[in-house]
Amino acid sequence: MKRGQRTLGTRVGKRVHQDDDDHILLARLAAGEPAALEDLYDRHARITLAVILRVVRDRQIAEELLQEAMLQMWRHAGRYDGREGGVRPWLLTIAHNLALNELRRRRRHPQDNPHVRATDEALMESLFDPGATPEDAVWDATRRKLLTTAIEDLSTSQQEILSMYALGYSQSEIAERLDQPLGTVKTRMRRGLLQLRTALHPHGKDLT
Amino acid sequence: MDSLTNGGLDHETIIELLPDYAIGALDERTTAAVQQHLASCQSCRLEHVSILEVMGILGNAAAPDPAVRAAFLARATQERPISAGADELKVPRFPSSHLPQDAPPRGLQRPTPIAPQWRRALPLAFAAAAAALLLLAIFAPWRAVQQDPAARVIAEIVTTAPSFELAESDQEPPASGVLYAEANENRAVLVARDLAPLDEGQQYQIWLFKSDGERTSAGQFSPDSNGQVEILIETPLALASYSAIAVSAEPADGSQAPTSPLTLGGWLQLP
Repeated sequence: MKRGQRTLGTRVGKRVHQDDDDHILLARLAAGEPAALEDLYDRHARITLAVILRVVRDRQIAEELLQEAMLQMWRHAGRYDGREGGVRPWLLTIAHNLALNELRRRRRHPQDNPHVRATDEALMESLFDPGATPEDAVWDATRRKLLTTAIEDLSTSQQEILSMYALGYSQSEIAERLDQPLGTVKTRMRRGLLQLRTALHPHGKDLT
Repeated sequence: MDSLTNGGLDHETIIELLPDYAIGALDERTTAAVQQHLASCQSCRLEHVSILEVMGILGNAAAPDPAVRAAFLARATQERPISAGADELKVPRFPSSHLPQDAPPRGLQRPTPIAPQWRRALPLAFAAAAAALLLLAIFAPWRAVQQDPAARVIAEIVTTAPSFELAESDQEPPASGVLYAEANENRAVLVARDLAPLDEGQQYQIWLFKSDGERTSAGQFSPDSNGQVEILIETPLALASYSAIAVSAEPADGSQAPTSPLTLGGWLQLP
């Protein structure tokens, strides 16, 4: 299914059998079936990009690393044994490691990679998709509604903390800005993340 | 959990650090400690992935540019699985009593971080592409690989361990390589390409250097016909014990010290 062709109907239709689909997808990838690449990309590219982007804060680099993460999946599909979750956890772990490696490279060679922490506005701008199709817009609205519902169930303090975390603030930065003890922020952060994860999990791939 | 093997951080502390680790907000030493813990703690790995998923969902990133999709598909479909082509890795270990005690060879002297012939660092994208091509070229077909424990170990290290770009040599074409290594592990993966053909009776030998100049062999190998190799290195000490790695062409029965100009090399900065 190519980008632009996706619809809410197809997403929901795939949701029920997502885990099974992923195992089949891995087998298809391992067998070297090129068409499986499209499914891999269409199912997981967006959330993978979001994770990388949160770390490297540069959309162009994030998209390069997204490609690299996907390629590693393609090359190593035969080694997947399914012991720890599905395709997505594996892919996100690969992508996250690549992003951390990029971050380390920048820190060691700052002269080659001037890294300026993005302002909130710049970060939000980098996340905005000017080329979204009408279908994407409809999907984004639905997705936002699911997210909003899940977030509303969090305490006000958790909402505050997680919204800052979503913008890329560390726990110590959040504690400082909210004038709260670091330990309190860490506890609320963890509980909030787990609660959100539990609330969003049934929607699985439909949220990305 | 042994706190001493995780940078002095205990399990509960690591859990608290996971959100910061997810967004890359930790310093290198703490990042390495978290990675080391994750390698051995399944519950933390699951929580880490859970955080990544929520972070990705909250991130609300715009979809990737369609050109990225097209480029990925083009790159992936250009690659074809190829049967294993590299010679079987031989990893003889010198008895510790025989380890050479003298200084590192010319070209890796401190305090210059990387000696002149190694100065041109491998660009990230090229290194990644090089590693990618090599991995693809050397990996066996799926079913065979699934039954190969060594291949599984290599895949795990390559996909999870930090990578170190090895500087290219001044030979033409310049060889290049990437080392995938965790500080407290005794295994790493070396991926190299464009290695020059060897004379008959020669193999490449891998050298590890400690900061005091003590040198040890980490095995020998022969690249495939394209000058490529991906090998699992096993070391007598944890990799954090070493400060540099190098590769040189040596007689097939191995040398006690490099006897030819280094083909690849670089400093390791493992925490």
